[in-house]
Amino acid sequence: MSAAQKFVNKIDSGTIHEASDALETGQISSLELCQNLIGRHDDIDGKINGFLSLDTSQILEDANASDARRKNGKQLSRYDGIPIAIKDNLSVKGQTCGCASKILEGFISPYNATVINNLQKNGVICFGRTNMDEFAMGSTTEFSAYKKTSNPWDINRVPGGSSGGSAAVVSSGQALAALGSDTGGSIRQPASFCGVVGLKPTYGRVSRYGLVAFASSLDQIGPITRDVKDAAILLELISGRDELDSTSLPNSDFNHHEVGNDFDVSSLRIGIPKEFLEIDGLSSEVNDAFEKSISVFRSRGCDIVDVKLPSIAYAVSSYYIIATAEASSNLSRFDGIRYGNRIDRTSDLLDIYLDTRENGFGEEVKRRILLGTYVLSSGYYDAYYLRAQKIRTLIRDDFNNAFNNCDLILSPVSPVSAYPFGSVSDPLQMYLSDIYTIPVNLVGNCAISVPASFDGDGMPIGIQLIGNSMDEIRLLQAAHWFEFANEMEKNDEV
Amino acid sequence: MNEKSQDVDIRHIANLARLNLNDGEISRYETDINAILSYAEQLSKVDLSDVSPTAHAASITNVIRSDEERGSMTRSELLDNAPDVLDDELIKVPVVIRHGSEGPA
Amino acid sequence: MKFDVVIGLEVHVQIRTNTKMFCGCSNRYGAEPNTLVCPVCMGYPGVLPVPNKEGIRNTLLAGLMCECKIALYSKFDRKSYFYPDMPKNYQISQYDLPFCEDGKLVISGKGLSQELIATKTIGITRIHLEEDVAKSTHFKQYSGIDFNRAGVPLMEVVSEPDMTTPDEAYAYLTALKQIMQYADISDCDMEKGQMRCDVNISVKPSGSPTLNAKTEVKNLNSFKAIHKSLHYEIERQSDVLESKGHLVQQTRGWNDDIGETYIMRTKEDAADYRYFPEPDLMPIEISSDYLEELKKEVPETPGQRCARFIQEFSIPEYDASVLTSDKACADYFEQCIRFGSNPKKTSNWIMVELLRELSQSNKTFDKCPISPKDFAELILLITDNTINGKIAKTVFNDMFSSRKSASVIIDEKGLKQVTDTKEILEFVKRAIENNPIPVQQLKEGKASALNFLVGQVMKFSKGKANPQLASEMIKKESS
Ligand SMILES: [Zn+2]
Repeated sequence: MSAAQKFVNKIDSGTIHEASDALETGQISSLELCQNLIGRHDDIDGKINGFLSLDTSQILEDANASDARRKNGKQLSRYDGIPIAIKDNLSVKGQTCGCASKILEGFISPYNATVINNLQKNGVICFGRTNMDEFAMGSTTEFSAYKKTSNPWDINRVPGGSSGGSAAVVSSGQALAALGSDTGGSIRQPASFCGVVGLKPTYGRVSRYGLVAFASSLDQIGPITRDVKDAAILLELISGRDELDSTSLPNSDFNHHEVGNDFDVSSLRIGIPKEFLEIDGLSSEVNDAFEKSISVFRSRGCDIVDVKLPSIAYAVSSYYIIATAEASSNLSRFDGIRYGNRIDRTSDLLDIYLDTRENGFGEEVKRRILLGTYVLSSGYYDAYYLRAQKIRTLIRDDFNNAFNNCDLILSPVSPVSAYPFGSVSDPLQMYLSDIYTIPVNLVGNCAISVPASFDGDGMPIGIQLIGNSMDEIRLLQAAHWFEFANEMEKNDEV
Repeated sequence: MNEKSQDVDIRHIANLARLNLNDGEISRYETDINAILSYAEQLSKVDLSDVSPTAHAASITNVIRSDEERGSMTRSELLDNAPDVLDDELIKVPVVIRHGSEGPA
Repeated sequence: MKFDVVIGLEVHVQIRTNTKMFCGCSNRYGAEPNTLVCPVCMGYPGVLPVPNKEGIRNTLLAGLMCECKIALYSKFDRKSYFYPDMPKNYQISQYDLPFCEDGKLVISGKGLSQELIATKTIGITRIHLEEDVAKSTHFKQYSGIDFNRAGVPLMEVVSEPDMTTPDEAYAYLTALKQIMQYADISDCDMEKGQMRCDVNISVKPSGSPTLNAKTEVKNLNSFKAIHKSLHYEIERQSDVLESKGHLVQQTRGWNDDIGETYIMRTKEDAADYRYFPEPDLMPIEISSDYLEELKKEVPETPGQRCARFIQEFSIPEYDASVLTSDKACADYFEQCIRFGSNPKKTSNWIMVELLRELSQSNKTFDKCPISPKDFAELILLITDNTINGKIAKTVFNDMFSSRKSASVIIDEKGLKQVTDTKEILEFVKRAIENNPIPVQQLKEGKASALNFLVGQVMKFSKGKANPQLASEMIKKESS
């Protein structure tokens, strides 16, 4: 049986590269592929709640168009007809773009995000809008204004967040892959919780144009996929310098073929920051998974070296000051004047602002807007915002020093694996659990979460590889190698 | 910052941010934000006098564009999304007289 | 009691570019409402700004014209406040690192009151770049917003509080407007909102070392309104001080209809703008190479041009300052000279005839019906005595209305000056014969008699006789 034929039999665990092969060889049409996924969605999303919306007629229309192109030999790329799920904070022309918030109810976007243009140029089909924490603020997707997404491995548990919907639909076989966004771990942590791959590219590698901003200097769009190769493929499709994004980096095109199979892992130096092992709340199961991953690398001849990231102790403080300050400003445009939901009880302008924003924003968004407004307000800027920016400098220096001594840094993704709904109610506790992921956003480097192990309840645990700025090739090569080696190791154990 | 963070005036901050909050919300946010700021007190203990701030994750400069038109959207596209419209031309809001000249404050 | 007055100005100038500051929408006045908008300038979810090179270049150019220090490292910041004419509810502006700082502008000439003001240097604190807001139209119950203007590049020029009279403020604005026009940065048409001004003014008893709280006056839509509001404020604040009152810092508006300022807000409700570095925009570094390039592009300032006119064309300082006060006028003058016309005569004719006709017909130089070439020809025809001054005025008026050249008009109407002595002699003899009394008076040395007789000759010749020749011949023939 060919690889493509194999794929047809297991669409709900298939990958982009397998589907692409099957489409190219005619084993399956885009229509069949999409119909299968829609069928899967109809069967299970009532339990998972990963999608906020799925416009099946549009999808089938797009699939037919793709099949017609391929039939005429006019396919736009190898990936023509591949469906990809889209997080609800990415703008697609003619679709809602609600960020899982009530304040954007009724808003129809008149333009495409650059990543969407890039996908559509290649014939990729936008496959539904996935649930998220409102405006990407949260780590569980519980802060969606619309629904709670369940972890497909245990529907009583959170999928992580904020890209929880994207991770859940990929993990539950409703989508081959999805786009998410990562401001402080929002791709990597749900990927880890749901047992899939999540890549946060280098800041500036992927255009942010059309990504509804949470924290502009930290946000980055990235793929959530079933394997590392797909993450590389999707990165290739969405990356590249964009003249509509001033923070987009030159030479940011990526070619997934550079992530080959002939990678010599023994030349790799993996850095282990001891500060990461001293984190309060690091569960023994995550710690075990982490230690086991280290040994996978070590056993194949990798150099495991100690690196120091002393300023990491201040990362959470620095991050939540910067992120909320930027967010308070970015979200001020949602006021019910030009678009979205306006609440006008008294025909008074101030009341429109107050009522629209009171009703439109959820609890966590308000909390962060308040914190961000406070740290920027008169008299407090120097004490909070400026200090946080200086800490950011120290953390960047830490990483630069570390990467003088190693090629990649290995760490947990989250101190814990997926937990039951409602178990974290204290905001500070929730923020502190982002400690492994937020330093990467502060510095702007790339990082990936790869499935590594399971906890005692059978919930997946990922590990994080952190690469230097624009070092995605090495990052993905190592992740790709780990994915394979770890699988072998598991088979050995069996 | 030290003692200051213990008396965050949530009402004032909420007004700056144009958020209506009821008394329950005010006290809850006051507790939350004070807790977060107490934790962030750790920053005041770091000597940062010789450290320059970092505002961006990437260190590039002079990203500018040439002065060329890219086209606009149609008025109907704009007004279709607007909650209230005047004469199919303007976006309607309750009467506001800007404090000052009709320009930036 | 005598008072000292301290005045500083904050002037917003729209930069004339093809497109807005941070998006690709057209920057154009007068389009249908809400047709020059896009997701970026409307602050739609997910959009990002990209700075327009020309907006930055023009700001730097303005800085160089005002002899500012140019920041080698600069950045944009966000200034936050909620207002429906500002799509993002923050304005992209510059806070602590503006493009230009510490410059100056020399003022001279006349104030609005026509009184001469002493030449003086006014300090420029800073010039920074920001984006304009939308235009609101107010009705009784509601307002309507047109976003065409939102995002247009806007420069803010902040002066030092170096002015002491409304006339000086007027002269400063005139000088600033000249600079913007000279550098082709803006037309500064206040009616179109291309130039807008806020004034800061404080008054204290003469010699008192302590400065009183300043008042900011906004909503000033013309140079005249600015001048009047300053007079009003000087009087109002002096009155407060005379009656032993206390001045508090406040912002006032200007009601042009009744010629009074009114209170808008006091210091207590001052806004908290929460400035912070714009994370969507990267810093701007100005290399010394680029700065050198730009310096080459800096046009002559009005002051420099005035000095050059005096030197190069030997025209009086007054003429030079009138001609250079409007760049288009100075350009017109220089083009005429290039066609060979006499500078002093050209200057006279521009100042007396052309400026008057233009202002009467409400035209600017770019709509002037007489080309510099034709104007120069007219002056040449006067200088070489083809026509005399009186005829020249008729010819000029004809040129202005018909757009024909002077020579065509002179040919068509046979207005060429008579310089043939035989022909003139006929007229002279007739004048002497018909007017024995003035002839007698002329012999007695009465100058007015000569003028009368010349006038008679001009009348007989239908204005075409050369008056100098006629005058000489009358003297000869009557003696
Ligand atoms: Zn625009």
